[in-house]
Amino acid sequence: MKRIFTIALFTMLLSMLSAQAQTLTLKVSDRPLHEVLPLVEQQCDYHFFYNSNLPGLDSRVTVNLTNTPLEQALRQLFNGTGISYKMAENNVIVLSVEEKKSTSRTVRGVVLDKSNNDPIIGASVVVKGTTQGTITDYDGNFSIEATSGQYLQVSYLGYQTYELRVTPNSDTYRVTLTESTSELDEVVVVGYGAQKKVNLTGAVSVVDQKDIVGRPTANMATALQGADPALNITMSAGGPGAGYNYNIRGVASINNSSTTKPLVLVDGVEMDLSRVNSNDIESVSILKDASASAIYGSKAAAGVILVTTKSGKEGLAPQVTIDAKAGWKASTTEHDFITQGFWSAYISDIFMRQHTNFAMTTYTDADYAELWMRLNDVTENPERPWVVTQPDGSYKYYANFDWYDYYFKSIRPVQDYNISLKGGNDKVNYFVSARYFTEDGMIRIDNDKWHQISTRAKVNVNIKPWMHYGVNFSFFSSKYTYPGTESSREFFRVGSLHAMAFIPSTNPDGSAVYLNPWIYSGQGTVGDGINAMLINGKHKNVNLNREMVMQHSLSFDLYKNLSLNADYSFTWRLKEISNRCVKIPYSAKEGTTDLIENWRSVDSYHQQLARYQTHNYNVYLRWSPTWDKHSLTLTAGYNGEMYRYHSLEAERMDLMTEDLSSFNFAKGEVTELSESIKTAATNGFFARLNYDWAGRYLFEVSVRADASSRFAPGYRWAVTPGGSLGWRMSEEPFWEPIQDWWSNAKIRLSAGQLANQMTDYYDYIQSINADGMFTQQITLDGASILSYATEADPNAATLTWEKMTTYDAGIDMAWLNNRLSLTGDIYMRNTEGMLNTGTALPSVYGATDPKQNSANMSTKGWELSLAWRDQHKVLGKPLRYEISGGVGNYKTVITKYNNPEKLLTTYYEGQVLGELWGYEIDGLFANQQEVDDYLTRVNPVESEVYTDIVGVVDSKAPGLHPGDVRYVDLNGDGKITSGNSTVDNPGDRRIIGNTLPQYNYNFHVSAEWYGIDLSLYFQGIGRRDWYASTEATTFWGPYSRPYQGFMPKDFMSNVWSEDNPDAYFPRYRAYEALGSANSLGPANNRYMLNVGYLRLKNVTVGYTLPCWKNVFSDFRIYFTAENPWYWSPLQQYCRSIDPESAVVSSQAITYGFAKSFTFGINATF
Amino acid sequence: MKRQLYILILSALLIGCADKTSVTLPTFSKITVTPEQATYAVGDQVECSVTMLTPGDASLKQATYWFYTSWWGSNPDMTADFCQPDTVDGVISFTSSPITLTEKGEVRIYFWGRLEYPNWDFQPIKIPVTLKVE
Repeated sequence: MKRIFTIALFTMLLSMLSAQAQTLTLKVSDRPLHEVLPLVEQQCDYHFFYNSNLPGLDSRVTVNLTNTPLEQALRQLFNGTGISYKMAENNVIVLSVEEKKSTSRTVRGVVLDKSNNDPIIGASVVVKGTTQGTITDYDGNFSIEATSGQYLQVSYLGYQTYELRVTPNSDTYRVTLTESTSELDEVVVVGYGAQKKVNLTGAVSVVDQKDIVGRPTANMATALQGADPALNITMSAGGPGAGYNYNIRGVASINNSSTTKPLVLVDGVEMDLSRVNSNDIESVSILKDASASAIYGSKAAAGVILVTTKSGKEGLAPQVTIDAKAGWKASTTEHDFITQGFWSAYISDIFMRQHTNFAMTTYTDADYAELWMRLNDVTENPERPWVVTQPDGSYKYYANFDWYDYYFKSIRPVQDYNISLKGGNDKVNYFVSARYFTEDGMIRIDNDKWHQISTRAKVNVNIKPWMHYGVNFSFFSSKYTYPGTESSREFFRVGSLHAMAFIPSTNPDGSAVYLNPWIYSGQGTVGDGINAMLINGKHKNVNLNREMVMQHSLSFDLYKNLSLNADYSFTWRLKEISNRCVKIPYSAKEGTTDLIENWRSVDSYHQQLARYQTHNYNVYLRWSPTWDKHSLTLTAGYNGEMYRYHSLEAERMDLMTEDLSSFNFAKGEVTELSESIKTAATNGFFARLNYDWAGRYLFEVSVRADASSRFAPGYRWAVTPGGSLGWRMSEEPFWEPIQDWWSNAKIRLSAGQLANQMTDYYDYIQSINADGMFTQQITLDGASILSYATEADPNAATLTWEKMTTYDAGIDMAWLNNRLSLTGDIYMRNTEGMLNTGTALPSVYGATDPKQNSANMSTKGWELSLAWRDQHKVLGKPLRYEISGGVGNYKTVITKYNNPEKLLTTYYEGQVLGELWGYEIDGLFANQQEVDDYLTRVNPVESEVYTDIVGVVDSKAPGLHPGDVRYVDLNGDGKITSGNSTVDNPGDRRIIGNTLPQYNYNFHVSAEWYGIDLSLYFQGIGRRDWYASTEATTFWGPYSRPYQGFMPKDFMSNVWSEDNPDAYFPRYRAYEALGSANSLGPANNRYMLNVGYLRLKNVTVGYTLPCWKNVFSDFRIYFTAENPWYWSPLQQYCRSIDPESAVVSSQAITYGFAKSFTFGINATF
Repeated sequence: MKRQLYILILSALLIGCADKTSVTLPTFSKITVTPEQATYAVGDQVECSVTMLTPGDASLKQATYWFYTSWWGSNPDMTADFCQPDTVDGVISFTSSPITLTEKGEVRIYFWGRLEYPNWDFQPIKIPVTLKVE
């Protein structure tokens, strides 16, 4: 023990002597302490040990030391910083907070504008690390309780935040704030670089990181929805892993419009938004016009979304952030469907009888009495069982069964866990993150589940002062397991067919209900077998998605302001789908089991493996000289991409067991075995020149030349130029008198061209399909069935790039010291040479006319964004708030299309994209007199829309009757027809609406006060017309199919009768909406609906706890709700269809859109 | 001001709690069982009748009445015993067919009605009587 003590004493003595022996020579002026500490470490053998969040590290110090002993140097260095130091063993200097000896006292001061010494009213003064704060009065004065050593943080919108330390010697302070560069010099990521926001000349908008990060959604696209009025995002469904469609400023091309999407680049690598962890996002830029996106060339034709992920920072000690939230999801819509067996049977029977003169059920009055007596039995009453076994063993059903509740869960859990680590020094910085997200789906039996994992590791190394290396690796994995067949979508419509409330899901012995003799003459298949399939529980599906992106980048600072950058990225994605089906049992008679005979009831195993690989290369030079008031940036380089898709798909029947899914167990017929390989390559050269003079006159020009393998040699290259001008009027000397209230004014003009290669991979080559197999069992040797090859229709080898030329004029304004800001753009985009059927060839040609660059269209639109940011004092505490909103609209017109007859069945010149042609209905026939009058003018027998009404001879009451819809004979020819379906002769149709979204808008309110934060984010569409098509059964109810189970409870109150002459729907009659020959089938103005909406997209309330500051630098608890509320004109007629899901398909059959409510914590330490 | 507010809230509550049925339903007497006994034996036959006391709303479009018992539900051969109104001296009554008591214990016989008013406003009538069968 003595020995140890002696050694320790000796070591301590040595270290003290060592410290005495070391000297420092250091001259620094007004530099943050954390930057000076490494300089000290370089000159001595000591290392500093401290918490990166230690208050005072940002204190600016000034020392001038020459051979000063270390102890003395440290005293000088830390004087007045609030930090004390202790020299410990092993040459470590431990830093900690200086012990506070003073007590709280009132500190006063004044806050002034550094440029003119004017007092700043309403500046926030906060004691750092506490919730104590105040704001300055009309003279810029403040007073606040603080103790010596504490820091006051003074901030005001548009100014740099200032920190000062309360010293024991002074109670009054004078603070001068400098105009913030973060507002004026906010940097925006643009193509191959970044630019000051104020210097942008193209139409670029930035999505606030706060609007995206922390949203409890698996797909970043939903978080971006409505973020900018130009960005139109439509989710394809509400379920886990749902896809989405999106465009910027409308559809860029009618050719392959689904693939001509904006280019999404995550740290420069093309990715799908659904596979990006929204918690990793640092910034999102939307490049809307051609001049901004031209540098990206071939894939940027529809605009570009640039996503930049977080990075480590030099001088940042390791910082861990944990975000965890959990909650539940529920449907956005109501599903208050008929669950009383009496009503479901009654409605289907009266509708059916009116149409075909026989009822849907064969239920007698006695059966109806049975149903009536059970009307209010929520559960089965022993006196009145729901299933009565008949003498022959068959079952008769008198249930009150809630099929929707049986199939779907009303609430389902969701969990989201994120962790990230970031930090760095002058050599290396890093960011590492991981996320696990899981949610249950809404299918109740054999519940569908979604699991998602994503990770990112981003490291930047300064190998030499002139050489930098970066690696960015991300991995995404998702797994969706669900029951049923390949398409879970069918649950939402097919599952309801013949699944009427009087039929339960199971028989008394537990067997599945499928067929019974009392419905539709024994042909009514309950849920088309989906119910029986779920009960059997052997249909399994797994969708796996894995994506890995590896990016290496190297940059060299070659000379002053000249750098060479190169990067290579490799994206590998594997999609694996497996589907297992088995034969489905059911029972129609007690003691018997049968197997369903339809396509779902087969014993098969199907698997698809698809691999996507992309190699991407970029090499570019950047030169950014500045002299006097001139700033120039020249960027020039090369971009190349190679893509390969390889898919294998197989299906085989008859597996040896129902419980295992592998081709090894399959012994039956191979029903599918196919392989698909697609490759593509592009090469591009680009250059861009940015120039500005004194930040006042701005100029940008860019050019890109691209070659694509999708076109034939000779047609592969496209050169697309772009240019823009900007004038910051507010920088002119003449602006000075109004600069105080009109802070910023800029006018932008841009023009540019983009090219679109999104045709199919080998459209210019005439292909031969060699996989034909004769089905007639034709053989030559009596064994092998003959195969054959087919030659595809000839192609036009001359097809080449589509060109989009965009003109944009914009303004950026700010008033009242940037409190109020406005951005506005008007634009026009001309798309020329869209690939479509070209010149009509004579019929003797004998094949489909080949595609040519034959169509043009033009889009005109505008966008406007307005924001107000300010702060006030409420109950003595500063309240910071922001209100912002945006709105935009566009109209696209086809300007050239090879349709000289102007057939309405395809595009035509002059057509407004999305226009909806339909008939006009001026009401329902109120009485027989009105019918008779109408018959004197219109012949329903020759009218297409009345074909079913007058044509079904078995109908109980054929012909027009009171309560039927009255179509207007617009062309006065005595019949209601579609003419010859041309613009010149549309019959009795006219343009009644437009199916594209109009007036896309958003509205955002956020506020922070006393550690409490609140954010409300609204998003909506002003108008979008929708005509519910045949299978939109929850809207049409029995007018579509009289035997469907999801029928709104109050449906009959909207059905016409003599007692209800003002009803919305006509007289009851089945199938009236089920085809163009039926009276409700064709689009018409009466039943066209506006599916515009206003949605509260997100509401978040959080509280940053003032405690545990010694452990956490931030600890916040919060509640966030996604899609909690919406309003739509559609709700007046239908509350079970979300307006967004109506857009997905005219049938509105989709996985229900969901709202979520989650509670979470966010901690940083 | 406060008073008006209370009245307003009270009125809203009253309106909210009010029966949504807008029609006046007919009223009926209790079921009379013939023969009337304290207890019955299995195999006994009874006849039930009900008298309409008030006719209810004149807008009635159609009415269906029947008798039913608590032990018929799971028996496919026993169906609703529909009955037509019988008017004697302006008194409307409904009488069942003879009902054979086949179950022991406390059994119930119901008089049911389904009244159809305009605009698919269907209203139920349900009058039970309990018999003790030994």
